[in-house]
Amino acid sequence: MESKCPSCKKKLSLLYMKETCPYCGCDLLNFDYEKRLLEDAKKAESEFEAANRLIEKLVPAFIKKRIKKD
Amino acid sequence: MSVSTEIKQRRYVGIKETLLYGVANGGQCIGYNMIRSQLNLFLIIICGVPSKAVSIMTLVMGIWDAFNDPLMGSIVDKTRTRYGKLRPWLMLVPVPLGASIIAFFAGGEVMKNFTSDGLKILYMCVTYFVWEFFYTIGDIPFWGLSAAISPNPDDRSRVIKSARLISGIIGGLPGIVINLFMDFSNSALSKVFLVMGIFAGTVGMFLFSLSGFCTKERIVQTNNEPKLLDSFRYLLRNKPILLLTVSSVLSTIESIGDTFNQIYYKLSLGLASLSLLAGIPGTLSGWLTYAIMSKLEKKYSSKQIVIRVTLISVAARTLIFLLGAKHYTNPAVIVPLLAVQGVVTSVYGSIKSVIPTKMVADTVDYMEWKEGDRNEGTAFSILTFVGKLTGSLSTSIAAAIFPIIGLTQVGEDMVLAEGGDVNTRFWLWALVTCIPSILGLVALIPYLLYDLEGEKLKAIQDDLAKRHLSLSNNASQNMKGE
Repeated sequence: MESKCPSCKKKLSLLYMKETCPYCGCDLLNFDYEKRLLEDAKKAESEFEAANRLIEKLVPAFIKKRIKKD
Repeated sequence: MSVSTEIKQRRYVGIKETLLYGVANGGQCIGYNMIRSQLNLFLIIICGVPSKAVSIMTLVMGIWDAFNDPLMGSIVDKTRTRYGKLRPWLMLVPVPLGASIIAFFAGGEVMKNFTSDGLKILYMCVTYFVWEFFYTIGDIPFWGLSAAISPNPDDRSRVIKSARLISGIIGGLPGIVINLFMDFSNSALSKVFLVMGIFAGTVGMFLFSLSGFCTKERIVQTNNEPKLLDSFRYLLRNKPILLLTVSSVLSTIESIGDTFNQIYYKLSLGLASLSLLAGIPGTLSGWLTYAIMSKLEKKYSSKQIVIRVTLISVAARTLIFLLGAKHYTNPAVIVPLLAVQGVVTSVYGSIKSVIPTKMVADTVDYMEWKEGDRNEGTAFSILTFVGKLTGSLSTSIAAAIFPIIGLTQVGEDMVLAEGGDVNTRFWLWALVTCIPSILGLVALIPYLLYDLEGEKLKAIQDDLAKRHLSLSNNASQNMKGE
């Protein structure tokens, strides 16, 4: 849950619903959209990498060999 | 590669968020499946409400949905908050929705004290209406979120698959638990339903609330709130979604086979529980389909997938009909054939539960590109409404077919009128195999006219990504400039 204004960094109440910051008037939903998307992408990629490593450990070696052959 | 194309191609929704979206749908489905599948048993047998009153209430509620769903959709589209326009509803609605589920299933205990049918009917109508109302408030933003969770269509597809798969597993549990309680518990059924209602209203709704608290809306929304009627106007100008809606309504005919399935097993094969045996391979293949669907999506467009899978399904079901045409009362031949058909049907069903939903998300992009405003709420309200409508329509069509093929209803059971001119058992065989899917081919006609795919869709989504970026850059620069 987002609790700070991304522009002025002031704390926002969880129950504050308006889309603009009460302190600086920043558009809370769209401000630094690209930067926030990039952060989400990094987080998602690290989760997918961790899942791939886990699958790599769990899949038996003979199946991996077969997949590589194909 | 341009920044906008890069934005569209990255993955933003991690595994945790994808799974939680699916678990939330599972929690939502516990209460929904309990009410939808046990409605008659609970209200008529346990609560003692007259069956006519239950039929009239469900009919009236079906008509009410036609207004309620799009209205709720446009209210969602008007919502503007710092959490987005969909998530606030998903954070708030689980509490009243949970309370309404508990109130509905408390009916068995509460109505014990009612002496008049009028009071029972009043309690039933009020609790059912309140449940339906809050369910709609939760369901439309939930599916709308699948279009707003990411600018990347692959992310959207993954969350839809997660929701359909996990809700299929979790949502089926209450039916099994209730049946076990009915067979092996000494408690009164009204108490069993109350306990299950409390479970669905608390645990189920806690899980459902995760869709509001553990997800994000990642599409830039404009600040101008559309007027209530604007959303309806946009919808009428949205040709792709109108085509998808027409196709969904026409595909009602495909589901009439479900109504005849149990009757066929009972009257032609002599044992209704054989359907469980024939259904096992289908259940497993349905789950596996979700795993291989992304490979299909890489190779074909959504439209191509739907058309190809439908044609393959029709061909397979027609072949099964022909193979069993002389053996339709012999379980040794028919059960394996229906098990194969179960595999085909579940693969088809899994694909049809994901791809058209993903296409609705594409139409939301198209509409934003064309009109400047996103209308996830109204677009997905059509999807939820048509889902409810087709359920009632297919039951009505099946009921109209009963007398034509020589079936009559005696009490709760269907009886075969022996010695007539019609070979009822043969018609039942055709109705559980090829007839619904052949007639359902008509639902492909709108797909032939659907052109929101390939390069056109890619260009629209690239353009939207650019627009979102400039909108957000403006918002950021305005602040930084000050």
